[in-house]
Formats: sequence, C-alpha cells, structure tokens
Amino acid sequence: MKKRDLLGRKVCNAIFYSMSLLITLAICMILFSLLYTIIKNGSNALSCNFLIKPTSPFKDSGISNAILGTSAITFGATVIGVPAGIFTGIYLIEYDSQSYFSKVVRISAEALMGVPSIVVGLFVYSLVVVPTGHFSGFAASVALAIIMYPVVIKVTSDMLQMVPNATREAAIALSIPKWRMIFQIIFRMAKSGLLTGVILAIARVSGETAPLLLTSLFSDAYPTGYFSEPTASLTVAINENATNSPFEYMLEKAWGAALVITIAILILNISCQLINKFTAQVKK
Amino acid sequence: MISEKLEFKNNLVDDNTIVEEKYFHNDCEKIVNNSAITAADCFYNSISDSVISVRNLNFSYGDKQTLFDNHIDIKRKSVTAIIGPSGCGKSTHLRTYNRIFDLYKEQKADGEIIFEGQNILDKKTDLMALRQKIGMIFQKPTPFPMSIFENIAFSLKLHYKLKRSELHDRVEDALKRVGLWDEVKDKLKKSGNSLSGGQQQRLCIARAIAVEPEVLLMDEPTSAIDPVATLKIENLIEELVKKYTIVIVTHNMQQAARIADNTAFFYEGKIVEYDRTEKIFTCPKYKLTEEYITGRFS
Repeated sequence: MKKRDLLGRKVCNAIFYSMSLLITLAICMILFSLLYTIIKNGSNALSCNFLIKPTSPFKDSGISNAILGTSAITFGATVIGVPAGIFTGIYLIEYDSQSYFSKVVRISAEALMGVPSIVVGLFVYSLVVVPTGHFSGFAASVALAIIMYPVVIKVTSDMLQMVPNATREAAIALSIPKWRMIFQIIFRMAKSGLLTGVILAIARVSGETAPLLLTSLFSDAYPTGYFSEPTASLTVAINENATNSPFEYMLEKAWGAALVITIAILILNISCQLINKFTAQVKK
Repeated sequence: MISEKLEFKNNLVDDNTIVEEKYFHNDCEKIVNNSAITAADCFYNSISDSVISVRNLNFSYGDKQTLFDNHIDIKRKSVTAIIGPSGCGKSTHLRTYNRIFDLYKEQKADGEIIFEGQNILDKKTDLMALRQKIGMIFQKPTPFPMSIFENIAFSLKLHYKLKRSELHDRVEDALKRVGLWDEVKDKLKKSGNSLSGGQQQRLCIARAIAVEPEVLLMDEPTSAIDPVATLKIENLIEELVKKYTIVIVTHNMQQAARIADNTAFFYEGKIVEYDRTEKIFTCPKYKLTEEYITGRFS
C-alpha cells in the first residue's frame, strides 16, 4: 500500500486555513472602510450649527429636527413594541408553552420577522395614514413597533427559556404568586439578556428607512405634530439630501446625518456588549 | 430507643456485611414474594398520628402511568424516607404532596392525599395556603437572584405583614435555625448565588421554614452537594424534626438509615414496603426490598 503524501495534506490545510482567515478578515475590512468613508465624508458637515439647526434647502441647514424626529419615532415604537413583545414572550413560555395556539403564535412571529420592512410600511400606510388622512410620526412608530414586536418576542422567549425550571418550582413551592415569580425572579435572572436583546431591537429599527417613507415622510419642521404631521427622521433626511437635491453641499449634509446615526447605533451596540461583559463579571 | 437506633446506625455504617450476617439470615419473619409486587404492607394502619394520608394515589405523565395505588401514612414530627431505584416514582410521589406537578399540564394525579382533613388533590384546594404549610427543598439549591436577606424576606413578606425590625428578626431566626447566621451575618446584602452549594441549600431550607410550614418535603436535598455539607444538612434535619414533619426522597440508603424514622421502599411506581427504618434495613418482608438494600440492584 502506498502511503499518502503528508505534505499534500499540510498544503491543503494551509490553503483552507488562509482562505477562511482572509474571508474572515473581510468582515473587519468592510466595517472599518465603511466607518472610514462615513467619517471622511461626514466629518466636514459636522458642526455645532449642523446639530442644532433644522433641515432646510439652504447651506446653513442642520439635522436637529431629524434627530428629534428619529428619537420620537423610535421612542414611540419602543413604548408600543417592547411591552407587547415581552408580554407575548411571557405568555408563550410561562403560561402556554405547548398548545397548538402557542405554536401558531411562534410561527406567526417567525414569519413576521421575515416580512420586508417596506411591506410593513405599506400596511401601516393603509392602516393608519389613509384613515387619518395624514402622514405622522406616530404612524412611523406603529410601523417600527410591528417590526420590533416579533424580535422582542423571540428575545423574551429565548431568555425566559434559559431560566431553569427548578427556579420556577422553587418559587411555586414557596407559594409565590405567578406574576411575582415572573417579574421579580425569572426576569431578574434573564435581565441582562433581555436588556441587550431589546436594545439591539431598538438599534435595528432606528436605522429603518423604507417604512418611514410611507408613514412619517419628511418635514423641515420640528416634530411638534408627532401625531398629526409628517415628521423628519435621520434616515429619510439622508435619502432626501442625497437624492433630491442638485447641490453638492446637500450631499455633504447627507453624509453628516449618516455619521450621526451610525455613531448612535454603534453606541447602542457597544452598550450591549458592555452590559453582557459587566453582568458576566458580576456572576463570577 | 434512641440508643438502640444509634447502635443500629453504627452497625449499618460500619460494615454492611455484618448487618447482612446478623439480620438477613436470622429467624425474623420474611415473606418472600417473587411474583409481581402486591399492595404495600399494612404498616400505615399502625400509624395513629399521621399528618398526611395517601390512599389510592395514581399518577401519570400524559399516557404513561408512573404511580400505582400508593398507600402511605406520614407520621407527625418524624422523618420519613422514600427510597428506591432511579425512575421508580419517588420524586413523583413526593411532588404530589404540594401539588407542584400542577406546573406541568400533562401531569395528572388522582386518588386521595388527606392533609388536615382535606383531600389536597381536590380542585378547590387553596394551593397558596397548602404550599405555605407544606414546604419543599429541591435537589439543586435554587437561591433567587437577590440578596441573602431578600431570599428569605421575599416569601415572608408575602405571607405576613411585618415591620422592618420584625422582618429582620424572622430572617435572623430562620438563618440561625439552619446554622447559617454566623456564616452570613456580615454579608446579608450579598447575592444568594455567592454562597457555596451547601450554604445555598441551607439558605433554601431557611427560606422554607421561615414561613412556618408543618411539613417539609425534601427531594434528594444532598445529592448535589459535598459530603461535609451533607453531614451538616443531615444534622439539621435531625434538629428540624423536633418541630416539623419531614419527608425525604433519597437515593442514598445510608442516609435513609441514618436519619429516617420510617422508610418506604418504592419500586416501579408502587410502594413495596413501608415500615420503621430499622425493620426495612434489618428484616424486610419482601425479597425485593432485601435485594435493593443489600445492593443487588439499584
């Protein structure tokens, strides 16, 4: 019997190793070059004026109304979407984990997660914008809440499932009422995971653009008419400035807005990592 | 009586073979039953002061029946051990006493478990009240994600309206009774999870006795902790039995012999034999019991 060539195997291994390494490096390259491009193009626009003045077609315009608008829309979406998702998650794990109904709910949530955001926007357009007769920040919040809802369900049910049943039994054996058990014991155990999951969901929807085009549209005014008027947002501001203007300086403003929202979302993501790291250390 | 018991314990612990020589081949009445297990023996009829009386208890997980016609009387202020091979229904049986199995929809029990004159398997049983009177300790220590103090205060606050100072006294009292006070008095605000396994288990016992139950159910309370901590808990059980009725499931036969007054031997969901611990370990009525306690199967 002829022995196989050991060198050949080593070469093969080296090739596969370097290929996977190179491709893995690409993820960092993409992130850093993306950040580099945004910072290079956006930093010129960044100034005090840029942050405190509202959007306008003029050269000294800013994005303050868009920052406020995005904050209001995201906050509204969080207020609607997070409690809904958490309660559904509680229902699925703590009250009814095996029935046919809860299976249907699970599948629906999974399916809803896969629906393109523009479709959700269109749905809310017909559900809120058309009946009320106007675009509004609130309609955008509803759309983002719908996008958030299944994500929060998934996060909640995953995190609750990780809490061992022994804890539930111990609480029940001490005749602790179920709602107290869920909110004061189970939730404390799942706290960090839940918190990071929810923050990631918020970060995800705050960067949405498509549903906003159909719900909040855009406005150069401050978002005082959150419930009744079109409301500015950072992502739509980027779109407006980058595509709807013939002036070079508007493109710069779009880069500036992109920089601001990227930094905001990065901060949210990094805070998640920090929460995880911190709670892991506390547990030790 | 006590000295008798001690001597008997020493015999068991010292050398199993001596026990075997001395007891299994003597003249004590032995009913050898090779056929399928019949009903449990009638020892329960001789228990006058019983806290819990179980009659015709059947239990099933979905379609699979796991307990068959269990009859047993639990004597007040005594330690009753439930022994038997893995999967014989020991824990299942214990878990019916406080209806903890209600947590799982597919688990069903029928029959009678009489506690304070009422069948606790009745639908109208007030489970909150029942579980306050019948506390439970689990295999793995399960401290809640809160401070040592809060772990005990949490359920106390649910059951009693207490002033701050009273609450503190009750917590201190509970911790003292499980011998944990001196170890934790300087770190009551620290997380319950920061304690060692044995300490956590004693914290759980403190938590259970703080609400003044009558019965303590223990489901293999020492199987997840080290021998030294186990010894502490066994001593604690001997202390606690002065005030509470204790039912303990254990797979450690020596533990049963050391701490239990009465012992029930379970096999395949049936109570094969139930008698005073000495009797079970020295001249059991059934061959199956003898085979199990001499280690011929487990």
